[in-house]
Amino acid sequence: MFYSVLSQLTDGYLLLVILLSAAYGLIIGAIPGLTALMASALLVPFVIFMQPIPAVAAIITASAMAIFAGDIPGALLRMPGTPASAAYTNEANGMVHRGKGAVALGAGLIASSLGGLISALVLSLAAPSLAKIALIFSSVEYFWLGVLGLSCATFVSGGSLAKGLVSLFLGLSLATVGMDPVSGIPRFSLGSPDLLGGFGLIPVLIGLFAVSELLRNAANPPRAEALPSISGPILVPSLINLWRHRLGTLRGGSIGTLVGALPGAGSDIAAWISYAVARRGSRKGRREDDIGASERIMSASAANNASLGGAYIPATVFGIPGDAITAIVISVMFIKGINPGPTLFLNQPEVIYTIFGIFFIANLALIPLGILCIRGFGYILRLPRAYVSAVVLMFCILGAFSVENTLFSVGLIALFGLLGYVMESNEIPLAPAILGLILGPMIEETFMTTMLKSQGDLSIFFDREIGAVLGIVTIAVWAGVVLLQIWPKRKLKSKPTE
Amino acid sequence: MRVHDIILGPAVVLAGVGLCVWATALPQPQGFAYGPNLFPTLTGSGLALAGLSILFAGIKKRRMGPLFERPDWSKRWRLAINFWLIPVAIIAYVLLVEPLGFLITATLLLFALMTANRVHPRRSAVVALIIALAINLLFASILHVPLPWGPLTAVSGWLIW
Amino acid sequence: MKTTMLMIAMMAGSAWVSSAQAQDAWPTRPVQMVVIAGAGGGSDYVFRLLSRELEKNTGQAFSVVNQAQGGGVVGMTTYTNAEPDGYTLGQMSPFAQYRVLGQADFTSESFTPIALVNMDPAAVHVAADSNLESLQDIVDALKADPTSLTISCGGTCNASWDIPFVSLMLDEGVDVTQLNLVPAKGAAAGLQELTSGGMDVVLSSLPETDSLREAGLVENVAVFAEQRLDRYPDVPTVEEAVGEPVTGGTWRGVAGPAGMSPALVEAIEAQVKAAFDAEAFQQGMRDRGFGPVWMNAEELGDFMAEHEQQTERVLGELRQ
Repeated sequence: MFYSVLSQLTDGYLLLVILLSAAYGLIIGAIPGLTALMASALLVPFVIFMQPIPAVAAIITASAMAIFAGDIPGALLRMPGTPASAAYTNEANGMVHRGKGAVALGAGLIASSLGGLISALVLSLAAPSLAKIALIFSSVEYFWLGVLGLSCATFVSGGSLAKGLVSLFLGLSLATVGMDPVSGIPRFSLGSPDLLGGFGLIPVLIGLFAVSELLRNAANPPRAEALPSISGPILVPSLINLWRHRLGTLRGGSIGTLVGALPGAGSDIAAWISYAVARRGSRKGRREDDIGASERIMSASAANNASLGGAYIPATVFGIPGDAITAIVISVMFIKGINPGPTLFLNQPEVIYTIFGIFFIANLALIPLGILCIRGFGYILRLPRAYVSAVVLMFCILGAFSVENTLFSVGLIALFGLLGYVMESNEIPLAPAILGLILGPMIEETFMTTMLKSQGDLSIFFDREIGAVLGIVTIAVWAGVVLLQIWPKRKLKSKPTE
Repeated sequence: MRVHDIILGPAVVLAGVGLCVWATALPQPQGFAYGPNLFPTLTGSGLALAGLSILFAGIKKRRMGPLFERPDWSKRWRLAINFWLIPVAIIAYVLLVEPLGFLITATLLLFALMTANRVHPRRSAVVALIIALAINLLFASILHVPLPWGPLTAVSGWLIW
Repeated sequence: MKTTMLMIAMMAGSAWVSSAQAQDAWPTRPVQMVVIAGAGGGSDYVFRLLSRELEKNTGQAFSVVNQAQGGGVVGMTTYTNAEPDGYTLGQMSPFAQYRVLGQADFTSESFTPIALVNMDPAAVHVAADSNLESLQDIVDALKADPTSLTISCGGTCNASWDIPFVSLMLDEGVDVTQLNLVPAKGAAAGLQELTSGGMDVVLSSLPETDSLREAGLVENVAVFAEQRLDRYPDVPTVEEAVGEPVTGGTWRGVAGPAGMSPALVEAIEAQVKAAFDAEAFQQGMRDRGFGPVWMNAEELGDFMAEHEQQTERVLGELRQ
């Protein structure tokens, strides 16, 4: 079987498809306003009529590339290309402004690639047995996971906890607009079908981050700040960084694979959790200098690429998608007659291992192609600001429209752009709002379905073993967050920053 | 636009309380304790509490900084135009793209944005048209994003590949 | 340059006038198909298959526009508000629940029915290690105590999968207002709850359970169809299982905004029929286990009225 997989993988046509979709994914992901989800969704009409293996390869490659490439506008323009890079956008942008752009992006690149490879390895070795674990999770466990995820907001907000929480609750409140997930009763929709559809994650992300950043730039006199160039070598310092932050990267890769493997938790949640763990849980990650920033960026970047691989565990074994991108991959597999399921591993092992092999190739190809992309966009984004801003705004409009297909979503980016601008001016961090918007529906839905199942008995949240453990961990983490807030000064005195 | 915490706090509290009040108006499905108002009420309360804590912090440092700070750009008309042009351009897109089609709308908006940023009008007209054409070609013709064609609708069959 | 643009606009304008006159020669320009589900889902697949055949036959582009927001309300609003000129069509699927639930006000009058292309019956699934082994077991349990089982709607509740089930329970004399119906984020999520022990019964279509059935984790106990499905010969119909001839499920068709002219409907129906009959469409549907079922404009109109009645009856009982 090894040879048949190898011969499939070295097929010239397949490699060409991988190369083209890699370039496509990198370009779409690196353009501010255009997201990884859009890159995958727009590929569907093309791959739907291709041969099975190249079809799946195209989407896998494009999505892996786009998830990494989302870091580039995040670092250079402070406009995260995907929700997954929102967690560390400020961090990476700060390094760029300190002249460490090549280091920051290189670190993210090499960690993304390694994270992807870790998950591909886990995927190939243990997919069927790991998938069984994912199936044990019921709504109780997802509820606790969601509440645990919310605590990440307090780690990324940096400044005042109260302002971080304002942003988080704002995101959670925005998530309640539209159809109630359980009864279907319209909430705050004012009778408008557009509001009934709710606030889409992507338009809000584009508005809060990209448009508000355009507004900030427009309001600053030109020439005030020139974008520092991305000069200096990328590969060698990245490899040194990789060695220095090997533990953080490995930890990020493992967290990403694990979180990705849980259906219902995607690359964004993986990146946030890994970021929070790096920030609190490691000596390097607590530092406020470039080394600390690199550690956090690498942990989170490794996690978001690893989660893509992780998501293929339940996807290939049971056909259960982990997030919107995997859902697209699965349906392409179904359409092409590669029906995900345990029998796929028995009957067509060469198909499934070829798909895993594609994941390896894509993540290896990420390094050279990613370096080219960083260099290329480093130049493009430094063209005169008058041109770049106008074109970026056009892409923001296009990015919101092509994910949601409504003009309402285009209007939303203006609204949330202004909101994001006002929030930033008042030191209210933006990232927690996105986290709230991602996790809000998950928490509400799992809470309500759990309550429906138990007919209102709250003890169900501690009845199941895994649920109880997760619940206790979640409560402990939140208690810790509150305690740290109450006695922050004493803690700082007794433990000066290393 | 920066406001002092002593104003920001109450504003957030008001938003949170408002959300809770609005949530009570939601219909309640019978026979079940938790309705569609539960989560908005929780998040609204959360907003209100976070707002209160900002207010208290604001009271502690009430002498620091002005209550309301007008942003620098609003005092210079060129920057103010640059700023407001962005939301105006987005709204203009929403209103114009159906009747005019993407190509014309995008050209007009790019032209306006670049000219406002002191690019010579002739130059920005050429650049705007080229970029709009390229985007239209890539997204509508090749990637099949359903961008409106406006006056080109009748012949758009030849323009979608 | 401005004059060039003006010329293009004028040329286009005159072309538009002539195309409006020649309506029976549909289509003379690209057509938009509004799908009320996301890219990559089952509905998306059916409509992309259909659009590919339509493109082949007519030589015009058919672009699939995904608008899944609001459980489909947004997409249906888009195409029912479009010009009834045959160039904005959309997915016709169960719609009556929106009005009963206060989400939108579509009635069968809001649409111009064109054709039905697919119908998939609902089915009942239990975990392989469950005490419940047949539909009769489920009916008995619910008769004894309607709250004793948790039932996943395999999607939103008050929708395609649970309405036939509740309809059956009404016929069996179960107090349906007490039923513990739980919504899920799609069939996959509901089935995951089933395997993790969080649910007793899941309702969804049969193909959606393929991989978990192969894994030996899920059993199908009955299907809401008149006859057993060719692809699933060992799954009994509801009538065979408990003796009540209840059927139902989801369906997908093509419709347009209200007020399309009969001649235009006829032209579109003919094109859709040709696409439906194409071997590539039939094969594509079989590949994914979707049931290709044809209804013309008139039959679809009657069917939609029937659907409104069944939905109102069941939801009326549930929401008493």
